[in-house]
Amino acid sequence: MSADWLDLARLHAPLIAILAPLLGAAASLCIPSPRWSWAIGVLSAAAGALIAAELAVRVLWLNETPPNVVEGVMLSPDGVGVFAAALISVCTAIALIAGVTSSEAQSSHFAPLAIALALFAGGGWIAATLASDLILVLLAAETAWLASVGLLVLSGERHAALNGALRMLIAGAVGSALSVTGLALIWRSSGDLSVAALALAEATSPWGEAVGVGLVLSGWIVKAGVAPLGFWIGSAFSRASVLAALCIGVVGIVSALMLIARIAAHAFAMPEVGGGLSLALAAIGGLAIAAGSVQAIGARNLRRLAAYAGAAQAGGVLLCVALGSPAGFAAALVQTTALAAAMLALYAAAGAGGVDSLDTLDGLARRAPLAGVAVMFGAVSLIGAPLTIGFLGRWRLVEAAVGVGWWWAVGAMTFASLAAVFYAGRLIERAYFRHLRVAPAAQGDGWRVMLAPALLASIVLVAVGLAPGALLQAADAAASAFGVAP
Amino acid sequence: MSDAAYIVGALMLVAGVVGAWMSANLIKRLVGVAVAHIGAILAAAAVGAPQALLIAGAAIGLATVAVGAAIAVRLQEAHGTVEAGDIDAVDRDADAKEKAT
Repeated sequence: MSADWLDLARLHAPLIAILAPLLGAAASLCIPSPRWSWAIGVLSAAAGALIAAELAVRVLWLNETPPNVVEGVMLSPDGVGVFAAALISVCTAIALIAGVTSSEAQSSHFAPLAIALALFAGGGWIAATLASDLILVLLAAETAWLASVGLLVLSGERHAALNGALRMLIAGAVGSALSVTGLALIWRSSGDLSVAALALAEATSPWGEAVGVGLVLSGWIVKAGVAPLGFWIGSAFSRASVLAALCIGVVGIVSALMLIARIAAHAFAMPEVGGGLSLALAAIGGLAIAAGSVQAIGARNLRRLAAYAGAAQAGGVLLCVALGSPAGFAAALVQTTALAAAMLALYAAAGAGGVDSLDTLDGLARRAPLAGVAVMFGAVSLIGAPLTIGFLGRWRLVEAAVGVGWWWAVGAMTFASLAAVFYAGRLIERAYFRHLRVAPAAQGDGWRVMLAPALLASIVLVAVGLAPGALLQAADAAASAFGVAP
Repeated sequence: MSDAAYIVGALMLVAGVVGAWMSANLIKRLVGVAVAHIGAILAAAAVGAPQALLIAGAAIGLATVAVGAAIAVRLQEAHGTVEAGDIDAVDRDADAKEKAT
């Protein structure tokens, strides 16, 4: 009997991966106790993560065909979508665990709402990566974006994050208007708005299709915070709580990058679309690496620094996608995983150590050794040092770029690593070689709980760097069906 | 007729995006967002896009402007202004005070 239920759950795994966090959000809203609400939220997010991870194992490691059941909501999991859903759902669960000490997660008034919004954001992004129709992708992504804005509104005290929340909302709204126009152009060119049709459609106007795909992607590039379009990230992150920073900076940005990879992976099959798209993505990626690195070097707030560093790393992901080959898409998936792990380690360690400005990072390794370790591994991975997952992502990009003669992309990634030595090296120097001069923020009771995700992310950063076989196999399997081989 | 509607929609989109990006007043930014969304929907309708896309675009635009208006009201209550420059200055002062203490 239980085997039958298990088979049924496996058959509908994509739907359950979406529903688990959404049902958890509804349940969290109904429970007034902050602790119980958080526990229900973590359990539902963990259940969703387990199901999405099991689906990824079956599809990407055991080479099973993704379940394609008519669910009434039109899901069509492809390789990139399955990989993305697993990564996003795991990040959502870890973000919820690490966000336990955030003020909004401990407030008796706001905790159920904050936890529900975090779950809603995660569920929305997962739905966007698995949806078969571009309209559903847009709706799910916008729902997740609005939930993230709501979470930022709740974070902090004395209306601290409202200004950043409004900037974030307006940036996302501009992106969604561009996406709606892009979808209309795709419809005009091909008469079909399903994701799979991007690769198959015989467009009457390839130019219109290319502009349409470009507009759709630009909407998500804004949401990914990629410079120069990520003008909202500075004000949004400087006053965000740990929960909001994790849900926006890890779950949101990783999801937006995965959506870009997924849509581009389908669109690159059309040579008329692929050429212009490759050029545009490469230009934005290169610009993002330069602008994000410079902004990160100048940042004085740890969360803001991490956000700018993430924008620079996201530029690297766009470069991978711009290659348009299976190797490029595989490199993008590895890079995004590295970005997620490094950001999780940094944000969670900052929360556990009560670190806000860089001054409060001084001497972290002495007063909170484990948080210091997490900051160190996060920083080392951002630099792309060997034996970390960050190195793995950059190495795969260099391999793919050299394969098509993109030597300038190798130069851009070298610049990204050198710039990271300045901004990420400064984190290590402050945490290990300075004494505390400014009192850190007061830590709540749950800082030990917050340490667990930080350490888990640190272990992943190093363990996958040392034994990368499983991740590389999954990324290669996810990307194998897409792109045009050089 | 549909070509004219398409051009008007595209112009509204561009004007709205520029307004949302460049304006110093938060309410004007929200108006820019609304104009951009209306332009996008008009352009989509002009090219015969499916109703689902038009309804989705309208729902997203409406929800965004509603949430944005709520945040703008809270900002007005907290800071007494909806000028982005003034609010940024208040935030900078608060940061400086926190650092000093």
